[in-house]
Amino acid sequence: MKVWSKRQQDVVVLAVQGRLDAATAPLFEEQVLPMISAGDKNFLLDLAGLDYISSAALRRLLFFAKRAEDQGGRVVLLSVQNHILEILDMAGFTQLFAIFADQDEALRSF
Amino acid sequence: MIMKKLPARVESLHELLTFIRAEAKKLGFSESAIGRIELVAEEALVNVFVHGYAGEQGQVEVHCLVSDDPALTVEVHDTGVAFNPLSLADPDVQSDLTKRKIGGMGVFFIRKMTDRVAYRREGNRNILSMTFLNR
Repeated sequence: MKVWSKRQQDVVVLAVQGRLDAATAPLFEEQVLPMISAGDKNFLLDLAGLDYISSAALRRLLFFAKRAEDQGGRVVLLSVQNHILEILDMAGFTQLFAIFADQDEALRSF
Repeated sequence: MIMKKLPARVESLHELLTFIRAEAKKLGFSESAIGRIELVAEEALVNVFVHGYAGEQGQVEVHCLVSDDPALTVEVHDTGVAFNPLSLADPDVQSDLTKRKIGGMGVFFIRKMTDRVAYRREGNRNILSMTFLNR
């Protein structure tokens, strides 16, 4: 699992690649939660390179989104692969997160 | 039947999933089916890692059994306290972000993505048996 971050105005774009599972999700959390403590609150998660997600990772994603909302911000998702979308849908996450296919459109949503 | 036994901790996860993936691949499961098998196996394993031994060290075993259906059955064995994960209620997947509880999803995925699932206690062992048909 790797995370790349870049800033687009007041939105942090996080590109996540590889597997988000019980072993790697804590590493994701270690990278992203400090950004909220440092004042960032709007996040665009680019999941084009995400191959696998399990409930351990979904729990941390939910926690991350709640923390962002507590600060008045949001977490939205971009370019989710179909098999990942199936998992997100099953978990009810497609109702919790806005999901976009186009980055400009996603950035305009903030 | 083949089996792999490792310490019941998250550091063992990738090795156990790689073992299961290889067995599923040998049986000709599609990549998307293998992804679901891995996910379900992870949920069962993480339950054991987190709750199985109540903070003490222990072992977990993964057994892969092939049947003529054709199907792959993945069994997760531990010798922790007697616990049937299938007794847990499903989470409310309809609630919104503020009300959504963090947790309970693992067993929900196990129920949704297996063709058959059963828990049994044999002696001092918890055994969660999860079967996937190769359609």
